[in-house]
Amino acid sequence: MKRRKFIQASGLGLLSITSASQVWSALEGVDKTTLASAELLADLDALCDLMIPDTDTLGAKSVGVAPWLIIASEHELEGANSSTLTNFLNVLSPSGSFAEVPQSDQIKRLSEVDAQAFKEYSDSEIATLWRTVKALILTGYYSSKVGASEELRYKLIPGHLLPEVDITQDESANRAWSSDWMAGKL
Amino acid sequence: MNQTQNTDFDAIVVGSGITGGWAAKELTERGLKVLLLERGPMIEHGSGYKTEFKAPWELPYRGEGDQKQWKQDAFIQSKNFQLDEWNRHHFVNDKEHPYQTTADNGFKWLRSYQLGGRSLTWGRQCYRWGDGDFKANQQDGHGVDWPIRYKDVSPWYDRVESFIGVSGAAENLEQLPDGQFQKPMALFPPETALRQKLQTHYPERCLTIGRTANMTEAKSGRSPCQYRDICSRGCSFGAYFSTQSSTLPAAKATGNLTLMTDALVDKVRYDESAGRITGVDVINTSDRSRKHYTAKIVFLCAGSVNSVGLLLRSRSDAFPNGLANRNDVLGRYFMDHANSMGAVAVIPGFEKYYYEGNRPTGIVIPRFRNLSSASGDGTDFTRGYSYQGGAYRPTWTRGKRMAGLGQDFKNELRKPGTWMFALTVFAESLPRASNRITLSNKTDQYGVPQVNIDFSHGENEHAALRDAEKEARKMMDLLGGHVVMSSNQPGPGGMSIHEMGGARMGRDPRTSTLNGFNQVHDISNLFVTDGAAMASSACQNPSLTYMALTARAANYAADQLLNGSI
Ligand SMILES: Cc1cc2nc3c(=O)[nH]c(=O)nc-3n(C[C@H](O)[C@H](O)[C@H](O)COP(=O)(O)OP(=O)(O)OC[C@H]3O[C@@H](n4cnc5c(N)ncnc54)[C@H](O)[C@@H]3O)c2cc1C
Ligand code: SF4
Repeated sequence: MKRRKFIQASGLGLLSITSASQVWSALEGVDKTTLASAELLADLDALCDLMIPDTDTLGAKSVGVAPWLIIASEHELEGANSSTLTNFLNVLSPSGSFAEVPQSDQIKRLSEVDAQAFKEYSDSEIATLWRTVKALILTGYYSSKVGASEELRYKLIPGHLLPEVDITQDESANRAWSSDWMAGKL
Repeated sequence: MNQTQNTDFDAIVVGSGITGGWAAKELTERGLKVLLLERGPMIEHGSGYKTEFKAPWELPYRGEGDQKQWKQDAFIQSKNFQLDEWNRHHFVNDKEHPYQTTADNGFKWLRSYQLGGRSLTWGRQCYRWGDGDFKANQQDGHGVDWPIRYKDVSPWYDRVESFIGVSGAAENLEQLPDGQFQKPMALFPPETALRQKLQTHYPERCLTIGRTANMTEAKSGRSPCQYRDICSRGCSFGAYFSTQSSTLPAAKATGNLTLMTDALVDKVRYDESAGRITGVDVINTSDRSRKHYTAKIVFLCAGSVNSVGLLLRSRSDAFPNGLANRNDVLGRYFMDHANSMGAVAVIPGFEKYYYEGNRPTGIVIPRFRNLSSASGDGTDFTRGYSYQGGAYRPTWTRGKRMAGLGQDFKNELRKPGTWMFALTVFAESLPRASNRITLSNKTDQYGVPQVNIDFSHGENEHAALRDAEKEARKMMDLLGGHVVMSSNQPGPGGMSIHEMGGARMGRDPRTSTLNGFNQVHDISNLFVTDGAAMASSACQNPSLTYMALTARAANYAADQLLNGSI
């Protein structure tokens, strides 16, 4: 319930800031909890962490994807809207904060939902919402500096074309390019 | 030159895009004083490309753009999958630039209003037409016969290619003649494999690297391509052809060019007693003031729809139905290639290969249907289609369609995906009188009448796409591919962004608007050299042909003016 209240309040708060850059700097510069409730951010952090954890590179929670998800859904990226995140969390964890559920249960619950969404291609509310939220988390992470250039490879000016790199000879070449713009759009 | 006329300029060119840049270059190089009028804002080469070097993490929407805002102001432009946060400002604001369509799922008009027009945003694919393309109307009776043939255009293709820089491979194909190429970009392993398999199984089909106006060799102040594939942001290396990188510097270097941006040409003025154009009326889009400029010749290069719209609204007592429209042909026989996704397949067997660098072109499989005669292959359609596309390995975005969570998922996305091959189709669009641009009774913010575009693909295009889908699947089978998607349904008109026709060339003034030199039949000092002039559409990307026809017309006009015939 707290979460639902938040979105009404923050929705209004965000709408009263008219330009995207204002929203962005608001979220970048100040304590995010002034805009988003601590509960919502904790829940989103939990999702980000399950989705893309820290490994030898930082994961989605550590690079701060959660606050970006709020901007992205407000601005309807990946087909989201301003209630997508709370609607999803409400059906994912109807009894309360997802972040407070023991981690093993979190994994179990999200894995079930993920299977519904991507193996069964269910059009249930939760599966539909998760497809959107997952796309947002992936976008937030792989377009962050760490996701794009440390986890994957990023080169703005390659300067040459090597059409046939044998990745069995060079393990480091077996890492996807985040800067393969065309492949990213297809 | 006719010394008795006292005009502000020798020539006025309307529009600074792909064709306007060429007209300005050729006319100024012939010594004419040229006024180049562009309705959009100035974008300086280099310093004007504001997002060129931005990383996704430096953009508020990480490259995807403000989708909520786009629903308000890019509801047409966002139909183009290449629109992103980096190049959004290089396409029009749909709210500010309205037009009307007749059908529900009407024509999608994808546009750039700025210095350079769509030369900044185009896909750069450059293909000559074959002689068969110029003869097609005569052979099967669709449309009117072109007054020109390949041999008339061939030297101008040479001139254009040599100047703009086109990389590609010579293949000695009649339907896609070779040109003045810089060295080709490389094929990827699955593409080479398909090329070889086609040679064995379908010798009439040739897979070759896309011929593209991305340079592989440096030329006059322009660097070779750096393999970034972010061209529509603008390229300060000048490595792809745009007005800014190529034709504008040449025109400026003559000292004969006056360039005016934010200058919307509202009307072309006709003097009935002299039977000539006297000049153009211009609205300054910043302060809405109006001015008239005079010239001895006028070149319309505003893009097919805008040039036709300009003629339609330049009514006078002599031309009550629009300038150059004595015969009710103006606006009709409007075309755009029917395009579809022939097939997308997962290709096994090449897992050990990846690539480095972003190749800013794909492959092409030129037309192979009905080459010997109109429908000589026993097909149920006339003319043909060609494929473009290529092989690639998906990157992280494939995760949006995949099951998985956690470390394993992250590790999976760290690797490139399995090779995919996409074959998109462009099918020739037949010229039909019913596909038509007219004036709407609505006006835009400047009080200028909007255009109405009434367009649909015909049964011939549908039949060609059905065949193309079947053949694309067969070709993917040759590679052992698993087809994950294929279609024979064309996107709405406009989605090929090859809109052309509306002021077609022809031999007979009763059935066409322009003669073989892009000159209005009975107005000797008015030329239309953009896609509006096309009498048929072939199935190649058309802009190279527009450029060649523009260069040819400009030199003809200069000759005529200098010898006093105009
Ligand atoms: C994403 C994309 C990919 C494409 N890929 C290819 C490709 O690979 N190969 C190919 O051949 N073609 C391609 N095209 C099409 C190509 O861009 C056009 O065919 C070409 O730009 C047409 O040239 P033009 O000079 O007629 O028009 P434009 O380049 O559109 O220029 C017209 C100019 O006129 C100005 N203008 C319009 N009305 C007025 C007026 N009343 N007064 C003053 N100025 C005016 C406009 O602002 C504009 O700057 C592509 C287009 C897009 C958008
Ligand atoms: S790919 Fe080549 S032409 Fe395109 S922006 Fe990069 S350097 Fe310029």
